[in-house]
Amino acid sequence: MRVQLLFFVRRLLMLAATLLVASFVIFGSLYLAPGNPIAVLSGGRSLPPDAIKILEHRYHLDEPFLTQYWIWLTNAMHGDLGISITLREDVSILIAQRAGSTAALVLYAAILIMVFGVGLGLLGGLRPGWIDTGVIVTSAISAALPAFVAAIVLIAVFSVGLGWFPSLGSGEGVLDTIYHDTLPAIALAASSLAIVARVTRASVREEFGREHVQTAISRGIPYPALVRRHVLRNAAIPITTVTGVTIASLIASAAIVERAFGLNGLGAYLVSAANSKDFAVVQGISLVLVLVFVVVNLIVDVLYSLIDPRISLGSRAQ
Amino acid sequence: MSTAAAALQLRRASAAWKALGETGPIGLASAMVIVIAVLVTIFGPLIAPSDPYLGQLSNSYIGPGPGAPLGYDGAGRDVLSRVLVGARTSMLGPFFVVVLSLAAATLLAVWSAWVGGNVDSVVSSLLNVLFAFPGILLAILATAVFGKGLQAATIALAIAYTPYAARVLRGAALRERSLLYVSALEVQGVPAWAICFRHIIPNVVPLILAQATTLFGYAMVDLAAISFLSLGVQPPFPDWGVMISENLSGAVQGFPLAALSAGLCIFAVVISFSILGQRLHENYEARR
Repeated sequence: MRVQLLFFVRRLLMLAATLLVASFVIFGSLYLAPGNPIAVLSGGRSLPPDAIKILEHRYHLDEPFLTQYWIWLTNAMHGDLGISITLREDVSILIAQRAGSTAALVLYAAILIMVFGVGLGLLGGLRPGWIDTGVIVTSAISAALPAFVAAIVLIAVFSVGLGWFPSLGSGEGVLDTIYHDTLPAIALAASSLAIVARVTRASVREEFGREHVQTAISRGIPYPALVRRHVLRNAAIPITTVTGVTIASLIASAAIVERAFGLNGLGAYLVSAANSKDFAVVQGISLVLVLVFVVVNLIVDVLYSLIDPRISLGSRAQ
Repeated sequence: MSTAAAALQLRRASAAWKALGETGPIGLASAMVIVIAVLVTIFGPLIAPSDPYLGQLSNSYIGPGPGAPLGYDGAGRDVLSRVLVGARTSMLGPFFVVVLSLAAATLLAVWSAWVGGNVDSVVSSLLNVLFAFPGILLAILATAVFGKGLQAATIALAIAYTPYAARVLRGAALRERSLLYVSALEVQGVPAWAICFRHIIPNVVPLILAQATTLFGYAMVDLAAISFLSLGVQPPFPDWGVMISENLSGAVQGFPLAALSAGLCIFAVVISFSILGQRLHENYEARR
């Protein structure tokens, strides 16, 4: 237990260091961006020197770079991400308004991945023959289906063709949100689901080939217990890793699905802010996305060490 | 080039052919699709039946007909011609991502495996920070900073992919480094760079190729996504990602063919690269 605690503390320190560097990259790159923030603020009009001075002071533009970074970082840690120059509102409020929509979408897709990705993989791994072949072919096709292509196919078939689901917009309330998010979640999950299925199938197969499983079979252990105790227990490690990593990556690719289905989420907002050079928003959302991405990866690492205490802590299944 | 060197080159070339042959019928079929895509990339504008930019609004979303086997898009432009011309950015973008990221990954991997110690741990932790950035996010960030377009997105994705390739290649380079022939060369006084460039890197080329093949698919999807998000290639150029974005409203109105045509091209190329990459990787692991 102490070893695990130490491992956890070390991982937390690593996470803090990673976030610090990432925040520096995010702030620094946008600081380097060509274009004068004052010109953007004034909308291209020329301002009297006094007004420029006031603006520069208010946005700390008259400070050296590192001081600006420090002010931005300490404010960000207090939840203050600055002001959007296009909407003239607090970035953190703008983010909070849209975070729920993205979280619901990613959660929905994550459930699909866990249920159908792992399920299909187990099916293929445990049932050799034509079922397995079917799983291999399905996952190969689904893995090569980018979210935006999946979106077109889903809209054409289930929205326009059959009329089962809406093709645009998000819903109100829990049930309506699920209804509106179904097609987007499937599009978002499609290729990750296939990767999870493939890894699950491969690791179940590998475990079946292991000596300890062969021994268990020869000892006459009933099939369900064999699968549960000997195969799944060991296969759980790579499955957890790949599931966690693919779900973490959904956070960024949600932008594509939000654009395709006209959902008002964080990703779609990030893209429109990048388009209109609303840098405070771009910085804020990038920081939030990186934070969530890193934290989800940390959770996977911790889960991994809980599932398998044997392997040296901190090393991940490849 | 000396005869011995020429013979070595020849042997490596024939080894590459053999590696391709060992991927089986499905692997060969994937290679065929890739060859066709490359040919379209080169000759697309020459074989396009009509002008990909000239549209007639009266043709908007008209289905397949004589002279337009894939129908017309929302602006009444010939979809087939646009797909053929659009191959250029859709294929070349990922190509540059793969070349840049694998060059960086190979150099970093071999260098850190060779020197080891502090250099190795500094490189590893730098790459670990990069892992914190999803590729798409880095690409969006880059287009916000350097302006919309293929260039910024390509470089950002190349940076984002480098740690993935470097991790795999570092393992292989470390394995080579520990082999007897490397020590033998060192004892003979062969300079380190020569051992790395003439011996270690050529020996991990099969793995580099397998990585390149796998990464190409990812790069194609991510770059098309950036163009789909209107941050990459700009209309009216018919990049496949742009075509899907332009014709999204058509799909909602019940005319999905224009968007699907571009989507199918991406799908076919991605699945071919994915299958081929997997086969090449399996064969490399099996030979070890």
